[in-house]
Amino acid sequence: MAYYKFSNQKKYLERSARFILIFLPLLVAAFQIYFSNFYRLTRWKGGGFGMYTSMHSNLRSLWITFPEKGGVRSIKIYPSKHIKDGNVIAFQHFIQPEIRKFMNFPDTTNIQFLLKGINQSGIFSHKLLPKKTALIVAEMSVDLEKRRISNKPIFRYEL
Amino acid sequence: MNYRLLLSWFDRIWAGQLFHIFILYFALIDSGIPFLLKIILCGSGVLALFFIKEIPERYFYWIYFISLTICLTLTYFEAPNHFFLFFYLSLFMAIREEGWIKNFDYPCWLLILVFGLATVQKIISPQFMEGDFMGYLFMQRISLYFINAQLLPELEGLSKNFMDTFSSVYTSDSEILSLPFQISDRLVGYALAHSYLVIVVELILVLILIFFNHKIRYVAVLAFVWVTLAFRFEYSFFAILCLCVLMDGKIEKFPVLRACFIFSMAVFVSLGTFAFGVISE
Repeated sequence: MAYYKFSNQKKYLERSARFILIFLPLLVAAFQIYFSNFYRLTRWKGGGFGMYTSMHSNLRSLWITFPEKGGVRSIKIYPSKHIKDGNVIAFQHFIQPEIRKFMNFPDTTNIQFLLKGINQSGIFSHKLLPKKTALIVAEMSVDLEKRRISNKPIFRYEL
Repeated sequence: MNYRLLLSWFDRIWAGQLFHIFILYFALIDSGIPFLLKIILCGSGVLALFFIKEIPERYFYWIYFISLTICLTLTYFEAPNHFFLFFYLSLFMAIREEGWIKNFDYPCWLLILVFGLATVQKIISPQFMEGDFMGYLFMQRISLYFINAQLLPELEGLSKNFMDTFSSVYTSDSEILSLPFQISDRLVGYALAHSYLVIVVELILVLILIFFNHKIRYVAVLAFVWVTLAFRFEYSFFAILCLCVLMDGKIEKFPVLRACFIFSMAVFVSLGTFAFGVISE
């Protein structure tokens, strides 16, 4: 009787182990597919094995836009071109990893890390910026049918 | 030459040993892992390699599993996909060493899941199915340039024009910009055909992995890895796929194939170390 009970328990253990091993990758991939289709998570990351299905997040860029006399001005923050001199070191060491992380999944839920990084780096404080300033993430895309290469904003956050 | 001598040398390497070496290699090479976890992974890898008779192996696999779990939760949005494969494999090895499962060829299931999911991702991605991404790879000379330039002589001039346009969009001062480029109809058709071909090949591989016997499965995976190496430089990912096959229990029956897998894994690891890749993921 005791042996029977033991073997039954072992069978149960084996079945549950197999179930977990098969469904864990499927669960992770299901999350990845959901977030990459309905949000802006890049298909390259997140454990869904979607490499080489869309543009890499290296081709996304981060912009800051603010109203100016006679229109709106936008400055590219990443990849950096306008931020000069001493700030470059601070930029590369403190916010660049944060921005790279943010580029893979630009969303309002994880923007706080980025703002914290920007404030700590001492380049500027996002609380001191003029009104109607926004952060924009743009993505490159190629359209073979229309024969155009375009850079389009995919995410906008009002500071 | 007596090739059995060579094979016996490969027989002395067992799968667990390769796994520990791999953990060491990735912990040293990959920059995405937090420093403390790097030390833990390296330390346990070295311990596992040198004190294999004194300490039971399952402890090391649990350490790998727990530290990879922490690593993946911390760096979920940046972690490359082969990290997830490592994570699943270490969980499998830990469970197997505990003796909770027997006769379960999980590595083969994992390969089916990987290729199946890759195919599904390609089918649901509009950029891939409309040929835009393949066209981008061809025009940017990232993929198969030498073969394509032989087949389509107009590619050279068109791709030069494309690269200039692409870099001018990339370095522009405006976040909304759209510039035209030139491409021939033949090249558009070629890119579309190529993306469908990739999907068909991956589907065939999945079907082989499900329905055929072990020998054909292994040969198919080996062929796929070496053919894909010609146009995608994902060395570490391929090395893990090879490790996945080597973890399968049935490969012990085919010593020649096993030696081939160990050899190709060594090649991918050395290529990955010197980082010849264009896009490394």
